[in-house]
Formats: sequence, C-alpha cells, structure tokens
Amino acid sequence: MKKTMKRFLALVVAALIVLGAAACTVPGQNEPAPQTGTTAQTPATPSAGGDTPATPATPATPAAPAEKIFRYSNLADAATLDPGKINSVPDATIGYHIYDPLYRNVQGSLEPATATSYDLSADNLTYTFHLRSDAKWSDGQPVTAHDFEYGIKRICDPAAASPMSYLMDVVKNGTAATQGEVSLDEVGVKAIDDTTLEITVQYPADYFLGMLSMSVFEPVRQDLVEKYGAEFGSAADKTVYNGPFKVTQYGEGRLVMAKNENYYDADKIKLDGVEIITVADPSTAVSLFEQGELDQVDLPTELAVQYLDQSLSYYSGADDYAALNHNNKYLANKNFRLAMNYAIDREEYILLSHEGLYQANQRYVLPQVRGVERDYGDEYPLEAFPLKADLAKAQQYLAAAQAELGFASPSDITLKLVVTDSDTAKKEAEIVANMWKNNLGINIDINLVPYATRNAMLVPNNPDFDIIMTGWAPDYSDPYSYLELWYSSSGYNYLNYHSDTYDTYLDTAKTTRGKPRMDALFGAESTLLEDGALVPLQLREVHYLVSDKVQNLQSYFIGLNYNYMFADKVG
Amino acid sequence: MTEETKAAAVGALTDEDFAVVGKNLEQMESISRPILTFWQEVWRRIRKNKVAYFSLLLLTLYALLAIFAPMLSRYGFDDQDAYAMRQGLSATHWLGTDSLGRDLWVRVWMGARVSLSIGLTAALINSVIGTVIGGFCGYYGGKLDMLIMRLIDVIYGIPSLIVCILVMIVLGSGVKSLIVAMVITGWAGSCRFTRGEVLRLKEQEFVLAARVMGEPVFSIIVRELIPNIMGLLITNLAMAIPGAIFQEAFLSYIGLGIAPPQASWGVLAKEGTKMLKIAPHMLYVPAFFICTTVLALNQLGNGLRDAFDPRLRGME
Amino acid sequence: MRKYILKRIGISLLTVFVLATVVFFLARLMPGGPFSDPKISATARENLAHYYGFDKPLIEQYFTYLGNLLHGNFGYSTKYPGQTVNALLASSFPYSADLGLRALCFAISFGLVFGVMSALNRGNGIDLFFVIVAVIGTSVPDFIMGAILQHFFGYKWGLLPIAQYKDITYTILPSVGLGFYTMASVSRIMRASMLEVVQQDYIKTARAKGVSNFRITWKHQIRNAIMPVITILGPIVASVLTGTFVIESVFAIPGMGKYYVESVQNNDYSMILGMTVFYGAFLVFCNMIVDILYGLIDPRIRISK
Repeated sequence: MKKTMKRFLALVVAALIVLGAAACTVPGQNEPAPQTGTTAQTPATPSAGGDTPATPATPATPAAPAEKIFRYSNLADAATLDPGKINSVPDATIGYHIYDPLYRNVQGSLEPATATSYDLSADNLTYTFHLRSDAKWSDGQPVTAHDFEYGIKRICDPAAASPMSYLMDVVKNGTAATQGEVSLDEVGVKAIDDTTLEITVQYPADYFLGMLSMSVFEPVRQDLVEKYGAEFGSAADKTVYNGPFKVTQYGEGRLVMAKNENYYDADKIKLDGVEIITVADPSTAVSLFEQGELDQVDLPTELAVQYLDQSLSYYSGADDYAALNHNNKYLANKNFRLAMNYAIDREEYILLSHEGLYQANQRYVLPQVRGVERDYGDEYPLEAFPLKADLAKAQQYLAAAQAELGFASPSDITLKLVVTDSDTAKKEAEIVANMWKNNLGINIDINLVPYATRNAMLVPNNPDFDIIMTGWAPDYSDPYSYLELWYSSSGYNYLNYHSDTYDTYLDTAKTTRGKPRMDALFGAESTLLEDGALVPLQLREVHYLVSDKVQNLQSYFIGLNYNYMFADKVG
Repeated sequence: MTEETKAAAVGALTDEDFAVVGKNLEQMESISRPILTFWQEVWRRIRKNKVAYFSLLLLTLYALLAIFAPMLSRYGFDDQDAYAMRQGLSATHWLGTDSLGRDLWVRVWMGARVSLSIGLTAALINSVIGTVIGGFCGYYGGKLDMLIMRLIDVIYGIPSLIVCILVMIVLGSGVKSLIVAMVITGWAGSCRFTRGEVLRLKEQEFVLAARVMGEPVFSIIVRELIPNIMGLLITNLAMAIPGAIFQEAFLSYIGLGIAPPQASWGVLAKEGTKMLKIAPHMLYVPAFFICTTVLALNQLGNGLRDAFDPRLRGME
Repeated sequence: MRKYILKRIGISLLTVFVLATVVFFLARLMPGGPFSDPKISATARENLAHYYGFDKPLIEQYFTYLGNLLHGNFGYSTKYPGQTVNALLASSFPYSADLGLRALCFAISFGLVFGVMSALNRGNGIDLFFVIVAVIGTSVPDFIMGAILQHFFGYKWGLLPIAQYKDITYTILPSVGLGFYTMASVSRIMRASMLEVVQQDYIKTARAKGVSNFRITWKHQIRNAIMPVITILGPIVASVLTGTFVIESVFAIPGMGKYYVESVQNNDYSMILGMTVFYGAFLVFCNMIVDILYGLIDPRIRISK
C-alpha cells in the first residue's frame, strides 16, 4: 500500500512538472478566430499545444497587406450591447459605432444618419423625421421607423427598467410613462409609416437634436427583444447592428468589431475592424501602447508629463467638484462656504493632483458647451473664484461665519469628507483636505468608500457626508445639463441647495429660447457660485497617445469619448 | 609512531609534574553553569542564534524609528509640496518624496506604526481568542468541543480574503475594520492549534498530579497548560504577524485600506506600483521595509522555536 | 476510512452552505445598492429593483436564492445586464484555473527542485543562493512581485508580454508572479525535510549496503522528504487561488478575481454571491480532496482527526 502510494505521488509530481512546462492550453485561445482575423502582432495560435513561440516584443511585419484593425483599451469590460442599458461613456462610444441613430452628433455639429431630414412644427414641439429606405440591419432586414419607436418606448417602459430613462424627460410623457402614470401609447413617439417618425418633446429644447446620437434613441428590434428576453444584447449574437461596425466577439476581456457590410455608407468606412481590450491598470495600457499592441491609449496624468510632445488632449466634459452638504450646520452658512472656496489654491491643486494638466475650474459649467451661437464660455466668461488661494478673503469670510455661527475656534469644526477609493480620487481629496486644514484651521475627516457606496450617497437630505468628492458629465451640449441638478426639488439635489433666485432663473430658461434663455442660465450659474454652493475644482483634460498609423481619430466630450467611425489605419 | 618517540614523549613528563589534589566533594556537587530560569535560557539561546538575534535587533530598530522618526523629522507626514513631487532619495528627503511631495522617510515610519500595529494587534487578538477557546475545548472536550471544532472546520474552509473584503466594505475603511475583518477569519487557526496541544498535554503526569491535588480547572489551564505551550504560542504569534501584514497590504491593494492621509506600508507600496515607470523608489522603499520586516519576523520565529525547543533546531 | 471521507464531505457541504448564507447577508449589509449611478433617477431605480426582484422581502429573496443555488443557477448580474452569473463564471473561471494551475505547477516543481538542490549542496554557494531566493520569495507580497516582474521582464527588457493572456508566453510572468511565494515556501520545506531524512537510519543502512549516491538520493531521500510538502498542499492551493485576484489585475487577465473585485465595488449582489459560492465551493473541494488523499496516504491522520 505504502509503496504504491509513493509511486503514485512520484507520478503526480512528474506530471505537475510536465504540465507546468508546456502542456495546457490557454483559455480562449482555441476560440474561433474573429471574422476580421487578428492582427500581425497577436498571432492566434490554434495549435492545441500552445507552444508556438509568439514574439510580442518584436512585431513581425506581415507579408500580405494587414487588415486595418484599430486597437484600444477600456478600463472595464463593456457592460452590455443593449442600447437601452448602456450607461457609461466608454460603452456609449461602442454603441455609437455599432448602432446608427437618426442624426449623428459629430463634434457638436448635426449630421444626417438614418434620418435624412426633419421638419419642426411651429410650436417647436413636434419633430417629423424622414428616414432613408436603404438602411439595413446586419441580418439584412430593413431599419424602419417602427424600430426607433420601439427603442424609445422601451426606455420609458417600467417593466424594461432602463437605467437611462431619465433622459426621456425631454420626450412628451417620457417621465410619466417611466413612473407608470400613463401608458406607453401616450409617449410622444410614433412611426407614421416605415420611413417617417414623429417625436413630440415635452418642452421646446434646442439641444434635443444633439441628444439623438445617444444610445437611448437608437432603434431596437422588437422581434429580437422578444426572442432573447432579458438576455438581449448580452452577447455578440444576441442583438443585430445597423451601425458602421458589428460586434463579432464580446466577453473574456475583449470586444471585437468588424466592418458592417450592410451599413448604407459602408464604402466610406475605412477600418476593417476594431479591437477593444480591457486593461484595468492605466499604466499597463501605456506599456502595451509602447510595445505596439494598442493604437491609442489614454495617459494617466502622472505619465502624461513624459509624453507632452507626442500627446493630444481633449476635455472629457467631466467637471469635478467638492459638493457641500448644506444640511450641515456650518456648511449651511454662505460665508463659511465662501471661505472654503477661497481657501482652495486651484493652481496648486492641479499641479499636485494632475501635474498641471487638467484645467482648474473657476466656475461651474464646462465652458466648451454650446451657448447661443458659440461656446458658452466665450459668450459668458466668468472667474468666480481666483486661481490662487485668497487667504485674506478666506479669513474674512471665516470670521464673518464665526460671528454668525458663534463657534469658538475653527479647530472645533470637523467635517466628514467622503471620496471613492480610487487612487486619483483619494489623492484629490488629500490635497483639498490639506488646504482646508492649513488655510482655515478646520479638521477634515476623510472617509474612503467603494464607488457604488459613494454614488448611493448622492441623494438629497443624506446625512452621511458633509463634503463629497464627485462631479458631473453632461448628456447634451447645454449649460442646463449641469444646472438642472440643483433645482430645489430636483431628485439630484444632494447639495440640498435651496435658492429662490436660482429656481426662478431655471424656470425662465425652461420657457424661453435663444439668448434670453442663455442669459437666464448664466444668471443661475452666477447665483450658484456667489452662494459658494459647491467648490469647483477641475475640468478633466484627457491626454492621449495615438499611433502614427491611425488617421482621423476624433475625440468629443459628450456622450462618447472617441469617434473612429471614419478613422483609417495606414502603413 | 615508533616505540622510541613514544618513550621520549612519555619521558618528557616526570612524576614531579603531577600533584595530588584529593577529593573535593563540594566542588563536585556544585553547578558550573549559572542557574538560568526558562526565560533566561530562551534569551541565551536567541542571543547565540545570530540570525534571530539580528532580526530581533532590526525589528526593535524599526519599532523605535516608527515611534520617534516622525517626531524628529522636520516634515509632517501630510505636508504636501507641489514643487517636490516624486523626488528620488536625497539629503533633504532621505527616502525621496511621493506623488504629493510628501517626505517618504516620515511616511514610511508613520506607515510602520499602522502596519506593525495592525499586524501585531490582529495576530495577538487571534492568539488570545484562539488560545482561550482552544484551551477550554481541548481540556473539556465533549459536545461543545465537537460543535466548536465543526465551526472551525467551516471557518477554515471559507476563503478568508473574500469574507475580509465583504466585512471591510460593510464596516467601512479604517484600522479598526481591518483588525475586525482579520480576526473574524483568523482566530480559527490558533484555536485549532491550542486545542491540539492541550489535548496532548492534559494526559501528562503533571496535569494529572494537579488534578489529583484538586487544582481548579481554570487554574490548571492557566497555570499548568498554557505556560507549557507558551513557547509555541509566541512562535506562532511571530509567524502570524507577516501573514497579517501581507493581508493588510492585499486589502490596501484592492482599495480597502485605511483612511488617508494616513498610510500603511501596503498603501505606500500600492501607490508605488503605479509609479514604477517614473518614480521606482516609491515602490522600492515601502517594499524594502515590508520585505525586511517579514523576513526578520520569520527568522525570529524560527529562532524562537529553536530557543523554546532545542530538539527542533535545524527544522524549517 | 469511509466514515472519514463521508464526514469530510459533510463538513464541506456545511461549509459551502454557511458561506452562502453569510455572504448573502453580508452583501445586503454593504452600504449602497446595485443601481447607484448618480444619474439613474429614483423611478428608474425602483423599476430596476422590481426587475431584479430586490423589492421582495429579504427572507423571501434568501430562500429564492437558496433554491436557485441548488439548481446551480446564480441569476443575472446587475453590472452586466442580461448576462447570467453562470455565463460570466464560465468565461472567467478557465482563466483563473489555468493561471492557478500553472502557478501551482511552477511553484511545486521549482520549489521541489530548488529544495533538493539546496539540500544536496548544503553549506556551499549553491545552497546559499537557493536559500536566499526562498527567503526573499516568502517575504515579498505577490502584487509587488507581479509589478516588478512585469516592469523588468515585460516593459524594460521586452522579453515577455506585459499583459493579457493569449498564448504560452503570456502566461509565464503571471504564473511566476503568482507562484513565487509558494515556490519559496515549498523549497524551504523541502530543504529542511531533505536534511532531516538524510540523518535517518534507513539512509545510513542503504549507504552501508553500498547503494549508489544517486540511488539513495532519488529512491530514498527525495521520496520520503516529499511527505511534508504534501501536507501543505491544501493551504497552497488556497493561497495561490486567492492570489489570482491581484495578479489578474496587474496583468489584465479576464479571470474571476477581476470580476469579483468589480462586483464587490458595484454591489452586484448576484455576482458577489455567485462568485463567492462558486469560488468557496471550489476551494473547499480542493481542500477536501487534499485531506482525503492525505488520509489515504497517512493512516495516522485518520486517527487523530
């Protein structure tokens, strides 16, 4: 017994050594190669042995003309391909390229897509879209106005539970239907015939057409939703595509797209495919780019300084601020809030947190959003708070607050600052906490929480934080996208900011158009900042690297980050 | 050797060279080595074990630096400097600076306070809980013992890190949560160990003697059994601290560490891994201290085991 | 023997059940909810909670969950809408298992070889070298080891791929990074065990009989010295598999560790539960096999347990 057992053990050990050396195949390796094929640098080795030496460090030059595959990375896997459930910018970017909307928002200008023209009723409430008849899904079926109607109604359907239903507030009865108050039939969207779609909006909204690029307004095939049920869009073959690309592989840390030959403008699409891999660590992604495994990479700001001469940049639209909870005894005081604002040295903050590469934000609304005719920031310049800390002013406001609130010394005050546990957010919090401590003498207690926990705290009347590090990215190019948050009764008003002046300005903006509307919005923004309602910190300016081979890659700050629809890869 | 040389060698000594000393009973009975208590003996053995002794000195040095270095430095552990970010080792900043221009020398020793105290506290609490429960289980046996042993089997089977992560999220970040999370999953090991030892010892004559003489159970456990396994317990403690330090580093790595601006070695090392390309010292510095501490603790543990039980010398 | 095995299986099942229950309630205690994107409106949140059945009483949810568990059905992820946890497990587990297996193979084979070589060269330079490797290996946390390996072998010297998991060259750095600690432990144990065995009488007898040195080392010394290594196989499997959490994120490998950390951060209840129970059950199973195997090999264990 004992002897055989030992022999058996010896065998096990020997087997282990052999296994460790070469034998087992790498998972995913034996999967059918994506239809586009893989790139020269990443030879798929279908041999079961898996011992074919790959030479990733020295890419082999392919003999045949290589397929044009654009490769980039995202921090997380795409959550879904279902246009009704996409709710992050990187996923929306994918949605932008695999589905085709009525109109495309290309760098802020409106380009016809599946719709070729539209009529607007005299009361500015009803849009009638005329759709092209040659639009096809990747399975060959025609794209009709009914697909659009179904897609939009599905967002409003409480049973479908779309996380993005708040965007339907602009559509007539959209919010009411989501809340189950009216039936879906009453939602303001209707297919007149296969090529005519009528959308009625709740109130005149100049930015409505710009929103049509968003995934929620994409067409959806009712037959497929009924076929796959909850699993619609959860796999490459559980949805169909009407955009320039179609997904061929989705899962296991990668998403591969191939050119969609059924796309009506297919001859204008130069790329053969796109490959997106998930790399959670940004500096690993940079290394992959340097070794030629990626064609584009976003630079973390610490690394971006090393590549300043080669990198490009764009404003991501994200506007980061420290939100103050006005239910706190001290933060309810306007002078105290202003002291908090003047105590921040925004220049030094940007230097410490992002090597000076982000833009210090001295106002609230992203200046790049659309104003009446030009950028809002150009039409309505504002520097509510100085770039450097103004300690004299900060002390003055603090003294005023002390007189009003009657606290003995600022060192008696301890504020709880909540921040997510990401490295960057943590660093940003440490910087502002330090500035408040040193410049005002108050104590800041930093609480690290996971992302989901932080987000769950962003509701009105939440006593769990005094200060919370967060931000906002716009859904459409208009100051209102930022300003609507702080309307007294808004469901997002986690500042608990209540200002009649502010509310009046926003009410005015809802009923006017053009310059008077923009003036009202600017009035609201000024009021917000005069009250020091929050502490604006930075506008994110993403620095990224693109391979020389890639041409015509565009970046944008609303709804998507990169547009590679018409990109090309040469050499 | 020839006969002649042998004779010559013997011939070199004559009878005059020897003297009769007679019997000295007192001297025969005296103990030539100084009388040492158990602990003195252990200490002597550790002193003789160069590696263990050096490890002990190093750990003492670290502990002293952790206490005094932050007080003596002219930098505060959270003093930021936008114009001294990620500097390498220099005369002004002995171990360089981090991403916010904070002095790493001070931060390393502030981190040591956190890491060492978490490691020590978690290991200590685990040992105490485990020893008490294990001791009683081992001594009494019976149904309760069965029940607790099954519970321990279950806890043993559960992947501790997974539970740690969840507990950390429920309790929020911070030193206390870290320790609680580690204790919840950690006590089972020392409990099982103590129980085994007590089971072995309780059948021995000295325990029997104590029992016969009517010593109460509590007193038997505390006065007879635990001192006898003390050595092993201390050894296990020294060996458990590295585990706790690693666990803290792991939890910090996935973002569940302690609240800033405080930092543990794990947090510093995590920040360092992200900066390997541009400021490698930010990783090497905390990594050096983690490694040397764990190394010293392991070596000290080995030394302690040898010192407590010389028969085990040379075993790994 | 049969009784021992049955008992072992019983405990394993109980462990999995306790784990499933504890994690269910722990997950619900986590602050925040699964639909916490600040942009999601309150209405949408209610609709989503209803969609996933989170609006039902907790006890009802618990029993539904247990029922589904018996059928091996972990439900739908909320972070990846429409994807079943089973599907995500099916896609990610092979990566973790592959990585873990490779790391184990590396750790055990190299650990044994290093330990043996070290012991056979006791006291000279080779021994010192292996002892130093082992001592360093047991004192470096795996994420630091992974990051350093990646930086030098992947980035600086370009010898091996930096990240991802495509063919065998991609697997080397993560497996070594993951297995290094274990390799070092195995090597230390093996060395000590070899040195102890060499003093045993049967080795002296064999030597006296004139058995060749090679034969003594191979047939007597190594075979007997390997036993202590077998005893720590259980903990080794557990430590290697939990280590994949970190190594997967360093090397961008789409394994379970990545999804687990993600699900915890997003309060993706079904995912947390599915991952934990599956992973826990797997570990429990590994431990059980090791225990039973060891019970088979060494009768003393059966008695003492």
